[in-house]
Amino acid sequence: MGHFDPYDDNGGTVAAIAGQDYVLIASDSRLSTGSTILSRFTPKIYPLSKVTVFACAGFHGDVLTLVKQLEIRMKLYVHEHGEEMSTKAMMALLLPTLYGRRFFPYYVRPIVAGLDREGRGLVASYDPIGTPEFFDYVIQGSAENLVHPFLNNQIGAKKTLSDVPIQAPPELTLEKAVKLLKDSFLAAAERDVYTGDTVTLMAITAKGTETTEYQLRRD
Amino acid sequence: MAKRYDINSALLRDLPLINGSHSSAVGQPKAHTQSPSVSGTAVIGVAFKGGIVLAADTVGSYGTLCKLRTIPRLLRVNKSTVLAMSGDYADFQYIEQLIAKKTMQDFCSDDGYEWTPKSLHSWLTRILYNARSKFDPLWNSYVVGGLEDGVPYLGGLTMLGISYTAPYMATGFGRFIAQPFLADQLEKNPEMDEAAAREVAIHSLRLLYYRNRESSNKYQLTVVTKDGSVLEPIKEFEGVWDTALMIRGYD
Repeated sequence: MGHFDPYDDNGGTVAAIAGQDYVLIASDSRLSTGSTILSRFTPKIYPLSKVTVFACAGFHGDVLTLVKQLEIRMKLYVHEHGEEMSTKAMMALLLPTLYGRRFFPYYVRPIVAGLDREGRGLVASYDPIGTPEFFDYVIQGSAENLVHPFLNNQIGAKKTLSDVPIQAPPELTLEKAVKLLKDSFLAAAERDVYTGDTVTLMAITAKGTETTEYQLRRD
Repeated sequence: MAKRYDINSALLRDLPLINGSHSSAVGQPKAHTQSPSVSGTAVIGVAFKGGIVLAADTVGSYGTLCKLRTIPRLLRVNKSTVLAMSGDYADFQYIEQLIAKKTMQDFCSDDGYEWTPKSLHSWLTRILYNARSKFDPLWNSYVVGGLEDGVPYLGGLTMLGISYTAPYMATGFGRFIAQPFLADQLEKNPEMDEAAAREVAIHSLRLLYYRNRESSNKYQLTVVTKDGSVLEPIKEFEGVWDTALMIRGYD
């Protein structure tokens, strides 16, 4: 009798950097299963509001379901309160959403990135059952252990033990952060077969969101 | 005396017995069917300038047995939406019924709403994801195609509820054999027209016919353009086997 496995690992890498007055979030667009590619055109990055973006690696079926759930909660919030949920509120909401499936978890590696009410960048990463962590930058997905030491070296790990998100130092401008993340993904695509094709970069500042794309290796 | 090998024995052995005397089933909780029986192999989807084409051969395999030779694996949903399936044929027939039911409900509502490729793709994703979450999966991969507000749409979907879009796609064995060919063809000719797309789709089936024992040279196409969708009659292509004589080392 065949054993049915309800999970799959579809690879992919997502990353974000919180600056003093910006937040930068990126995802590659490769969707794999086993050693084959399902799609080269699927960035795992999902805007939830004007200032909040969700990005998620892991099992794509769960990713899509989770995103739908969060979009619904955002819509209900707008109807109830007449304004969009803040980034901090979305970060708080993701915890019980993930933990609600503690005994049949969403097999996902999510990050939430956005601006707070003062325009500062915020990023948070979660484990599949909802434990949040607040750093000045986060990487999740198949190339996280390749990219993490690089960013540790270039930015320096800063972690808060409280639930207060923090930002990278002011010296790290948006331009520098873009360069760092581009290099991170280029390096990741060299060594990780599950990361590649196209990177979608979203830079959110008080002025709005700017989305750019650039090519990675496609092998 | 050597044990007689029955072509279906592998599958018969795997089927749970109703009286529960199956050794591994004794004392086990009720189990859903967790493997496909009659199944279809790869399907191909190609988007072109102004439409999409889906292609599939017409075999229903029972293990390695070519049990059914002419079963349609494409479904015309309406004038803008079509569907192609690989995997368990019974599960596909169940989905066909669900779609027909919803189509009828939409018709009776008489509010002008009907399936679009995007809505069918999204809805099917939920159906397959919910089935897998109940540990009672629908053993299918799908390609949904059509025109969404006049723009070509191709959506892929696996049995676990993983959905994605791409300008070309192939399921099952086609991921290995046809997808690299399709990628190459679309890179060389990004503004592909209908004739070229049909050619590419049929050639993908041909490549599969040469390498995949579950496939056949009987196939069906469905095309969606601004003029509507057409589910074409089943056709055949000829294999060219001249080079087979040159193969050495397998005998």
